[in-house]
Amino acid sequence: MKDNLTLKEAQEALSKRRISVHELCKFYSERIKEKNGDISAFLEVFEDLEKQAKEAQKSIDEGEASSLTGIPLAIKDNILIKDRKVSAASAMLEDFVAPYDSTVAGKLKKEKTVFLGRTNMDEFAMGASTEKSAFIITRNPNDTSRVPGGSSGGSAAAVSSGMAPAALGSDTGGSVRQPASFCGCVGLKPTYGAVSRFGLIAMGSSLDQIGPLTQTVTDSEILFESIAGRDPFDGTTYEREAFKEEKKPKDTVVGVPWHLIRQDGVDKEVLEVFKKNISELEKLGYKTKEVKLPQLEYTLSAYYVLVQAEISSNMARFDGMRYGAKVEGKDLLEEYMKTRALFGKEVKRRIMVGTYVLSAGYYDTYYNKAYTVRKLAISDFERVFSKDKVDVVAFPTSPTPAFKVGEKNEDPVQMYMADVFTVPANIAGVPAISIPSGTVVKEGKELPSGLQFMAPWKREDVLFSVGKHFKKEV
Amino acid sequence: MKKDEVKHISELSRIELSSEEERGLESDFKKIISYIDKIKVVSESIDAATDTTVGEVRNVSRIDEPGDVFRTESLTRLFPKERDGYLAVKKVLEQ
Repeated sequence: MKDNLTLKEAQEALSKRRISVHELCKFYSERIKEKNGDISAFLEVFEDLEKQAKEAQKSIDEGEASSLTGIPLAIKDNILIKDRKVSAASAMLEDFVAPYDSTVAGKLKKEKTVFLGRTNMDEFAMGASTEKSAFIITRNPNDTSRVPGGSSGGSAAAVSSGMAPAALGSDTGGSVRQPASFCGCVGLKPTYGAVSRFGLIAMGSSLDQIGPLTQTVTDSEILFESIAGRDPFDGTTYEREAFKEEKKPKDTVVGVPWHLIRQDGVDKEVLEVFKKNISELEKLGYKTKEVKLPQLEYTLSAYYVLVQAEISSNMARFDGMRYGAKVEGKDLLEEYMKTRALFGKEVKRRIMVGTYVLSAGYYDTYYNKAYTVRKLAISDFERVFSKDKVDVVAFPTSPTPAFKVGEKNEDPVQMYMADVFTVPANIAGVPAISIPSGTVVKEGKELPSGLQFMAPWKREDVLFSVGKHFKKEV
Repeated sequence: MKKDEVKHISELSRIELSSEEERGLESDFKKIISYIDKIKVVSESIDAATDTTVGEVRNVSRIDEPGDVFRTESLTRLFPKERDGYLAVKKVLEQ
């Protein structure tokens, strides 16, 4: 077997009986044994692969297979799978065993997908480098002295190093797309409400979405179709609509907000790759057009107000009382204080900034202002997609390629800047995809760079269509 | 942001900090607050408490039928401390 199979290839190999689920799982568990020591993408590899494989094979043999039957997947450590550990890479939940299935895990179980294991992440998904895990630092498979991005760095590293054909992550401000860009795979952040958040350990509830990390755009679509849809347990989810009319490249307009992209802090080589990508799109017949999204200059600041406010509320549930870790104290207050001291530095910092921006004297200055920016950013996107008649907006996924382990640990704001081009999609709720689009050379090593597209609400189909054309998958 | 302010916020957040952590957070806070202060130049202001236009607004309802998502035992076994099947917590009110 070659290095790694795409979902599509694995589907075909299984349905044509060229391979059994058992063989497929054995292949990946051997790859994990060989590679995980250097990369540390997985926090746990499940011991019951054999049993899961048997059940999947039975489905295939009985002719009951569906799209993902028998496909091994890596799952980010903040997505609940019943009776399995799920820790959000935090000491707070080190021994926590999920009492129920997340909706997404339930859907995958129904298809008899094989869960390979749970992947490392920044603690509670707060970070952009997977260095903030309470347990271990994940390394970039392209250069192990560099970070894989984050917070879904374990999932991205697993896919791009061939330890899994595909994986799930979660994206609150870029946590699927940015690691996809750093590691060289495809990452999708669906429209807010496309995929159920039930059973996803919450960070910023108005921003979180679960999304696939895959090797191809085709695979991204396959996995997205399996996990999306309305869920009674998540009131923000909606019924999928079918959008049939696929636009040809010559009828598709790509908007480029040059005023945001040509700025300090954007790596020169990353900018060169992006410019080349835009001419490649033009060669494929796409029309390109400069667009203005003035509010996006403030979205990163607004994001760090809103997300930290939501974090301070969501993290309040970790009180040492009902589940998770508990540190005994002389009274109730001391128990809270000592238990919550188990959070890592980044989590503490975010809870505290969130508490600050929501406190009585600052609510108007920060929270209300950030909410206003969010609304205005939404209007910017509405105008670009309707009045300017743009079908997708293009950005580099990240202003830099993968940085060195430890490079951005001193200054939290430097780490925040890694999200500058991904956050607008979460703020506005629009879908966005990151696609490997070239490489830049740093210290003699080739590092991947990603091209990102954002489409109107509910129009993942446009992202897949443009992405497949760009990657010549059609 | 001053040191006693950091201490006050940590108490509001119910997080115990070591003195080293307190010092580190003091300087982090300065950087973070000066970065988020960028939004102050936006002149418009919408009240988040009364405005509902972010996200899709629609009625969501479902039939109120008992399902088997949660079994009592699946939740009680997660209690860090229990007594006779009940959740044990420290006394909240002093006599």
